[in-house]
Amino acid sequence: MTPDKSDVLYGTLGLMVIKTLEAMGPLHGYLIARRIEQISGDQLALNQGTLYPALLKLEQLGWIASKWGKSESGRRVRIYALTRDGRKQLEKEEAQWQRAAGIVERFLKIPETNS
Amino acid sequence: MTRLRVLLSRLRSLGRPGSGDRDLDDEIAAHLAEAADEYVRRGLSPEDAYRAARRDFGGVTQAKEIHRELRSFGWLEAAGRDVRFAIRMLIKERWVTLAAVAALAIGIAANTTVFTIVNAILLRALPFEEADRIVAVGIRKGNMRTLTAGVSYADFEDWRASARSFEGLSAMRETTMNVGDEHLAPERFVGAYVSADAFAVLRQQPLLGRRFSRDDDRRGATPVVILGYSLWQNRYAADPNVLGRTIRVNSVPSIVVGVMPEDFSFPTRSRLWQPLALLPDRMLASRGSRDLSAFGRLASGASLEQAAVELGGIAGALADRYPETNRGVAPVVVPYHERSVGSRGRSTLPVLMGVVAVILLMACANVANLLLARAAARTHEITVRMAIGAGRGQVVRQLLIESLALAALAGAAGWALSLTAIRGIYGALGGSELPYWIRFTADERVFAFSAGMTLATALLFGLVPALQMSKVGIAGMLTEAGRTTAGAGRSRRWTHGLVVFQLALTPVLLTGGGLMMRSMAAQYQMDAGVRTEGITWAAIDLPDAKYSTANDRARFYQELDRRLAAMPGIDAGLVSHAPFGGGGARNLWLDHEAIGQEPQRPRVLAVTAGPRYFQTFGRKPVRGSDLSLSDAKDGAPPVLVNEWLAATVFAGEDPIGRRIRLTPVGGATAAPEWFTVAGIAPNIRQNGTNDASGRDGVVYLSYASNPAPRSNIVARSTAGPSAIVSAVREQVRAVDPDLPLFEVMALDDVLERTDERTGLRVFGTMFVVFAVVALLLATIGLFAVTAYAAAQRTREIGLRAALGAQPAHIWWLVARSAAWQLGIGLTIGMAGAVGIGQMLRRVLVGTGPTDPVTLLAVAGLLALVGASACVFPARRAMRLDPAAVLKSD
Repeated sequence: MTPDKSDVLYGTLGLMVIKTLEAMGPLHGYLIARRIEQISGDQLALNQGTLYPALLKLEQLGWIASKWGKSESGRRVRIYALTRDGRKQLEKEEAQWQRAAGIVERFLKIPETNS
Repeated sequence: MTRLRVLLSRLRSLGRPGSGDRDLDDEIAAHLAEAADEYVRRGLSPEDAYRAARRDFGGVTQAKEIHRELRSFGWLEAAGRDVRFAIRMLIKERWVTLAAVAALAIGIAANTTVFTIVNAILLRALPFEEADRIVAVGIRKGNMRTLTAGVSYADFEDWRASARSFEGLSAMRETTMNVGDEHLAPERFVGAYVSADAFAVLRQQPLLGRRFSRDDDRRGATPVVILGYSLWQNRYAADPNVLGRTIRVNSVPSIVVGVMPEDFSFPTRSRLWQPLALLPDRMLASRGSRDLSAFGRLASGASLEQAAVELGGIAGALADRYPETNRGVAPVVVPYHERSVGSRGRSTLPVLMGVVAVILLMACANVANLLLARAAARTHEITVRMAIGAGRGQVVRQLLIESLALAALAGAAGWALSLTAIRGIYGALGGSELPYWIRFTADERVFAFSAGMTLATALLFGLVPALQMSKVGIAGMLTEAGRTTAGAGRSRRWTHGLVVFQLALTPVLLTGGGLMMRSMAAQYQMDAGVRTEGITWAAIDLPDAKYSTANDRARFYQELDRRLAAMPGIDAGLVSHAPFGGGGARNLWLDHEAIGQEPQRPRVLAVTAGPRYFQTFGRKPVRGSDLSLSDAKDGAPPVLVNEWLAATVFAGEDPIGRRIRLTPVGGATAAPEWFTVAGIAPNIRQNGTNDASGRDGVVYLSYASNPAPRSNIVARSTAGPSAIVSAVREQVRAVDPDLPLFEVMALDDVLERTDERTGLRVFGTMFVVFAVVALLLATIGLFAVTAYAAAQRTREIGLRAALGAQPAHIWWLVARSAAWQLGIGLTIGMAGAVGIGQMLRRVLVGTGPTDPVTLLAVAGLLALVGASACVFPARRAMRLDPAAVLKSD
């Protein structure tokens, strides 16, 4: 429905999700969303709703797994956990992200001398 | 890998639709509750907390939508919905559907039919391994362009010894063979004499036994034979012990060494094969008797051109060494499957291909117009769809899927239609006499062609209306006015353009069809010079083994002729070629001329005739004596020249008593025989019916001097054909009990079966049918568009009438744009009509590419039909009752 922009978002959002799950262990959707917001220092205005398609995609890829469980308040919630594949993928993605970020950073720092 | 995983996971969820939705609903509810709890802990009221949670979450529906699309094959489900909707639309508007499907089905059927034939005749290779490397090798005589004659055994052996461009080179001669056994009745089959390596060159393995070996193909070797599958099945009951058995082929005891597999009848329809060495001496000994056909397989890396150049060099050397027989003999190498296609087929088929493509384009134009007309009615529906959030892409997709569904229906109908048409054409072309590998069957290529065409059709007629319809703006469209006028200007331009396009194409096709019709008429009206009705025809073929010398054959004809003459109440005679059936092309030399450069006069046709040949047609030699079979062999044998030759070549002099010589066109024989002109024959047309020049120089030779192995009997009687046939058969059997009669039919049927008439009749009829279809399509197109435009303007016309406009003015209002379209279309079209005449020039008989009768008739017909297509809607508009119209809306 919404075009490419959200795809980019899914990409980075996915990375945030698996990083969160690696750091925190199994969590349900709301806690993942809160955690991401907290880590970004509430800088990221996350539409929490977009988290669920991202979770589904990660699950389809086999990087995370989910099952029904109980929240701290005793509600029936779906709990997501990182799989072995997901852990491997995380390493790859981190490296890739850092390389990409590095390139972008270098671009942004090019002094405009030859204009 | 990951793609597969995603696919699998989606497939799983496809199995339990809805459950994913429920899970997500629960999950989102829990999420919102957790979030609200936290806001409550921070001190908000429950209501505010829930509202804040909803705010953080964003669009619930949107999240669900994306989720659902990820979970399922989104596009697949959407396409499924579109297809279901499309089918509902097609059923709802069943008349539109029927009209569109009918028009498209005709277009698709025409294309599939012609392509099936093109595929069978021009494209499909021989059914052998690497068949594209198999070539036919022949010679070209004089200045003819294509392969015109066979090769002689001596030349072939020299070529084979020296040529390096061929992996293998083989010679063959297809003829008829009589098969006899101890206990079975003799039967006559088509069979071929082939070089030992013929099957190796084709890379064809036998089903049983072996191929011929080099030793089989030596003079004096034990005669052997290889049987074809059907012969083995039917005559020998598929007995595997047939190998090693001795059967009589043309009375020669031969050992069966092999059986070929089913679907092998090389070169055309052979049922058995023997080595070349078993051919009679006269065919193998002389370098000048070119009775064999040759074929070969190009060596890997060698091209057709290289092979031709190499053979040309070898032939040049042979011409130096054997000038009498080989001067002017140039080898020709062509892909083998091209050999079997007449030049008429080769030049007509591509034109027909173009014609059917045009028909399909016209059908597309009609359907596009139909859809554009319907667009107005559907504008409202599309506006609503867009208003509730469908993007333009989705609307276009929906409309294209409707087009595809239409095209698919038409494709299926067209395919079925073409199967029937192909069967008819196969019968009309005498398909069972074509080489065995030419079958008018659909293969993957035909299927791919039809499917591709159907798809392209859908885009062609669907895209413009789809883009037009989806262009509507939402705001203006929901209003009442939008329903009648929106987009009208734009799509009317398109509509008119399409009609002009159709009108421009129609005269082109009609002219082609008209010229073909004129040619057909010219062929059928062509005067044979004699009455051919009521004449019965039968062929005989003297087997080489039994009648190996000219004397044997001359004796046979003498005896047969004596018996034919004695039949009571029946006139019967012998002849080598039927009227319009050609003859041997010869150069004629008068007594005082030395044989050298080609003489400056048309070639003559040599026809062998027995006594009473002319009498059978109720004629007799104009002057001089009839031919006879008891002429002494020494001296210059008598011949007859026809009146035309007498009047032109011998102009002013009496030909009777003059001596002439005849040499084969292009080549020369060592010492051509002298003939004495004994009489003047009546003019009977011998040139094919596609030669309307009327220049038929014919020399009639006697069977005493020219006893060819094949001959025909013509007979006439008041007794009726069956009585004639049985009487003639009795006489032939009395001379040779083993000799069958074949091709027994009326002479008119023989003429009907000539390549010229068959080709023109079949292709000409197709052309005419297509032209009429085109005319119909264009007329319907113009009529529908004019009528629709008039209907759309009913209100306006009613208003004008109410305000006092004259009927003539209203008439013109409606007819004006149709008249414009007609004018522009016809102007362009008539220019194209002259063009198609040029393309067909080589096929036309007795008429020119710019035949004024055809062109005027076409222009007149179109003007008439076109005018009536605008008159009726205009008349209807004129008769509108203004009061009723104005009240109606």
